[in-house]
Amino acid sequence: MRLELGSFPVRDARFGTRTRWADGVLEIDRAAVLAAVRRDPLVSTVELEIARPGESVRIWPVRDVVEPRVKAQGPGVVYPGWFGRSIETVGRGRTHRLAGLGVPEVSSVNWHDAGGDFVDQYIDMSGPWAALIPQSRLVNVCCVVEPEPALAVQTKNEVVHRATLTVADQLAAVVRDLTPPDVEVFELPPAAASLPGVVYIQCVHSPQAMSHSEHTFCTGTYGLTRLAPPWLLHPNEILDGALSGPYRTMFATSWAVVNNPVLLELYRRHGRSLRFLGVIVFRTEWTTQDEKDLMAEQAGKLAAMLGAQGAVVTWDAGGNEFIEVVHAVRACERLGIKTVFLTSEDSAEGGAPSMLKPVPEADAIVTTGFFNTSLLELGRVPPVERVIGYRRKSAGDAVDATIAGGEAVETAGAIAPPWRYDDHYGFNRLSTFAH
Amino acid sequence: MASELRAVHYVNQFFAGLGGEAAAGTPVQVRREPVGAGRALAAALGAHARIVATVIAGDNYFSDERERARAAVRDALRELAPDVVIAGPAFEAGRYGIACAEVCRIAGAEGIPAVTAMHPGAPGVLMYRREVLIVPTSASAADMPAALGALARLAVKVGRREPLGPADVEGYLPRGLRKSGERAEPGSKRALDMLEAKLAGRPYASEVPYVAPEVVPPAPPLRDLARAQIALVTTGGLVPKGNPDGQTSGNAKRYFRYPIAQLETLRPGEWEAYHVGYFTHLVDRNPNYVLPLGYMRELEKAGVIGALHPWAYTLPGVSTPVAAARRLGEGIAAQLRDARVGGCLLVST
Amino acid sequence: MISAIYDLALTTGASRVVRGCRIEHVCGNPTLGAEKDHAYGLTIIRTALGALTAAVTGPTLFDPTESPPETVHAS
Repeated sequence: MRLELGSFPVRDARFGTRTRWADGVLEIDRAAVLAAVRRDPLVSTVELEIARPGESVRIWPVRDVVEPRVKAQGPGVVYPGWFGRSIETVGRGRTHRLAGLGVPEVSSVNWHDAGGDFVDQYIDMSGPWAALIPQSRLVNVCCVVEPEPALAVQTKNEVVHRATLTVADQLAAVVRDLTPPDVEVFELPPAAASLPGVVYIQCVHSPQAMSHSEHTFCTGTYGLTRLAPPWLLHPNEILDGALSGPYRTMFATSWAVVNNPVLLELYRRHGRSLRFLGVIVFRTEWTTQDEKDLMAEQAGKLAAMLGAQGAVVTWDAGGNEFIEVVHAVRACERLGIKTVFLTSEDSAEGGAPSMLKPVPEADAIVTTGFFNTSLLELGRVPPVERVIGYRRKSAGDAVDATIAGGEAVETAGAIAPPWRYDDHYGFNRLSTFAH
Repeated sequence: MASELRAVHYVNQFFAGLGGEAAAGTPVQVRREPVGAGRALAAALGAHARIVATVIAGDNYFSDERERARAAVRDALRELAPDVVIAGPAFEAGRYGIACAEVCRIAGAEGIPAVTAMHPGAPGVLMYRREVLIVPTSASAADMPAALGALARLAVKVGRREPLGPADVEGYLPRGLRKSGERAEPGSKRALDMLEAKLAGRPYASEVPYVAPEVVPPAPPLRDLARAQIALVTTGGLVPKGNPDGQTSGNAKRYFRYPIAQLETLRPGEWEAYHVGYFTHLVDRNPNYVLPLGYMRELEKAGVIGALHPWAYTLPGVSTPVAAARRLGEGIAAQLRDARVGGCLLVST
Repeated sequence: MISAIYDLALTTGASRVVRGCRIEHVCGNPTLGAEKDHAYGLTIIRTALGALTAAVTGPTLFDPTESPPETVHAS
């Protein structure tokens, strides 16, 4: 499977008379893009706004950030499977991308209606929170969208994400037939058998156990988010967006998954220091012990059948999913597969363990630091001049530290950072140290 | 250049040159000069610090006359008012290591920075590593020069009250604290570098070492269930409909208790689960799935249990750090104990 | 302690752990229908009460669908 990935760098974006890319500047025909979104009769309102790195701008709240990509050659479509998009296997031919551009999905639509689970991530374009968030360094063309209010929450989720993908498609379409200034070739040619075979076990959270929804939010596999046994993907499929979707941390958004530095780093080491065998996509948040253990065992077995001598395990969640994730690490180790676990940590206050369950087989852990921003000592982030999205925040509860006592807050003001940081894929250098 | 620090050194009878077991009963004494091992320590401290006094005690004296020994050390430190206290090194010694750690604790309570050194397996480490700054040494006193070098370096640093870096950088035993900080490379690259090292059999250091779980001794069994008061606790985030007390949906910082003495069962519509970690609609339809009140009333009437405790305890057990969970659990357990509850059913989602 | 994710309870210090059904319905199973659901829930609670009267030396799993209780010690 060979994929050429052509990058069109974007330094700036502005609204203009027609949508086109030239010399790093994206001009956007705002009316035409909005008209494409409004073709969906379930969209109530939609607006486009641009935020640039360094500006005093807050984008609130953010459900997803999508990098515009488009198939220039080869089968299928990017971000396949969502809401009727083709499910044809992607990863071959040529894909063009607008590098340095993001399309944030901004909406008041909540993930689901079971139990106080609120969208509470936001992007600052400058300041201490921006310094930690890769998407703050993008030129962001925000899709601020509301669905018809009478719809069920699942349908609302579909409408807003479909709108975001439509915006991304409209923008990426203008570079489909251009010659990219930069092309990187992704394929996994046979490599020396003396190099160790390595699989990437990418654990992605399914929403089912929280919402009983099989397709609203979370990182989907070809648009499917439901709990299922482990998938085997070629990394090229992921570069074409076969793993994507809205989610609750900036580090698990669609943009983060197609730019996952673990995936790219494994690719770059293929044939040099290791043989990259493929990606086992492991869906998490099973709700019985047996299911958790079964999936962990099967992930390990798949890795062994692929001939893996080594494995990297990442995950994108918190809570009880830790069990199947760390048991997958254990399953690999018990099969003789040397495994590294990349994870964030919980508070270690009072000398408490910073992970839910200690497992002795997990003897090679790399930590991306505390996921709870209250432990990062950021304080309140400074006020901003302009908010894209919603100026007042009234949903939420104390799990979301931006709300005290449930009253509405001005989102432009000095507020707490989103409560969860959680660098799932090791974009940053932040970590923790034993003291 | 920083001014010269005033240091007090603690040693036992052996390292003071007073003798072995025969001198182990020596009471606490103070000499206004470096003594025994302290002379080499003084050399290691160089111009950065001067040993203004040595506190000496016999190992047996310190352990047998614990309170008197501690009071004497405290009085000596108050009088000497040093910038830093250095104890040991104690290497693998049991009593001496414990005495060194205790001297450091006393200094800490007096607001004086302190540091000691011993073997990571020594009893003093097992007992005091969370509270005391300990430089790891080998088991044997043959390692004295290296141990003194590391001890002196750290003593100067804490004596100057400079902020301490991570344990492996500064050369002390981790105290169970974890602090945020940056490493040289992004996490993704570190993960693959660690994997390649592990695959090649090269040494690597896990950034989160394994910590064995706490061993909790089980409570003795209930002897007579038919006379016992049983309580119900849930981590399912069950609250009266409308969440009147504003319980959070996760990351619990407190727990709630609700009166159930007048209730025969939990009816849908009167209670709801407010919990971010699971699909709560089923519990909303039947709250007894997480707080089995209906069953308990049946068993109470049948005489299987003595009585149901009149309060139900609840919190949302999701994204709760272990440390917070421990604190909340201790609070609930204390209230149940005070109410003479004999047994408790904790339903965890 | 009644938990569907009993392994976690056993390895984090709970001494008497009863196997619950599923995270979303720990003390019962709505798919069984009202009558059987009630009987199943009652079995779970009876097992839990039995566990309170059992002498254990370490983390022990009690399975409502089995008897006598299976003993599992956390490693």
